[in-house]
Amino acid sequence: MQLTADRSFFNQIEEIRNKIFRITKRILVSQEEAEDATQEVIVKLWQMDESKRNGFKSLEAYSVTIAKNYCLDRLKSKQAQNLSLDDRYSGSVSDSLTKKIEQHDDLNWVGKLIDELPEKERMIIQLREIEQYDFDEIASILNLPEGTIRVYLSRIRKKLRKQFLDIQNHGIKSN
Amino acid sequence: MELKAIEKLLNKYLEGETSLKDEAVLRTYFTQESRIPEAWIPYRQFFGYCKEAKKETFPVKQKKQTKPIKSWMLVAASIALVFALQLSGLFEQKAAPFEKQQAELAFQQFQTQMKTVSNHLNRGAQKVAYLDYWNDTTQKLIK
Repeated sequence: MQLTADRSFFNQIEEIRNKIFRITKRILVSQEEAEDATQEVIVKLWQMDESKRNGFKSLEAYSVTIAKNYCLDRLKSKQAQNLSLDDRYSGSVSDSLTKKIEQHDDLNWVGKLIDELPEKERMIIQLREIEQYDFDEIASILNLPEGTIRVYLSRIRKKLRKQFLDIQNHGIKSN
Repeated sequence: MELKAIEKLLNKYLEGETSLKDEAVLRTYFTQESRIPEAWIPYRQFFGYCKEAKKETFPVKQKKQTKPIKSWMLVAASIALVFALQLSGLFEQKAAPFEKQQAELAFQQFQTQMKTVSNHLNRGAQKVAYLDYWNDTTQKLIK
């Protein structure tokens, strides 16, 4: 009985787990921390009563909200401990710049640009452009009005577009 | 015609006014169309990245699943242990003749050394006996 219940839970959770991993990685930037955070969220879901778990209109949206809150807590405690030296801060500025130019053809540098955005903007990009959530879902996950999210999204899209064009032009000038 | 429609969507997109459906149209256009205006290349890179990023999955570590010790592992371990013991036993036997030789040599050396020591000791004892005799006679004279 218990075993089949567990199995159905893991089947149910499989795709959600991947989503949570991508979202936590976007917020925390570090791979290991995202793995830990994902495990943490899954444990929280697993410890929940089955009736409660199945009672959600969308378990996915609920899980993403838990994941988001967990990550923001992590970031806060890291800042409090003055330990904000995560992956993206390693290496000097010129280092990351040369890397950006080197990886011009690679799609990786797009991810790097996104990861340099503030955490709220990273979350919005991840939820809308990558996970393709509806505005009302994003609004409930981030606890913000839909209009605010549209404004944010517009601002981020324009900002990224400008950065993309800048990099492209630099590439042409240096050649 | 197509380009105009895309451009219109892009303007809406930048204002944050596109629906998921609109964005799906943009996504297919930019990831599938091979010839696009040069000014739109950043969009292709961006949508291409988003498409790839959605494929990332949680890394499953498979090593943990093979953890339980199988019986054949125990058998292999015991065979290895027996073999290792025998091997070390062989080395011991091989090493023995050499060690024996060395021990015999040491014993012989010790024996000769002890012989000289005892010779000297005997000579010393004879001298001491003579000294005792001389001592006795002088005592008698003094008395």
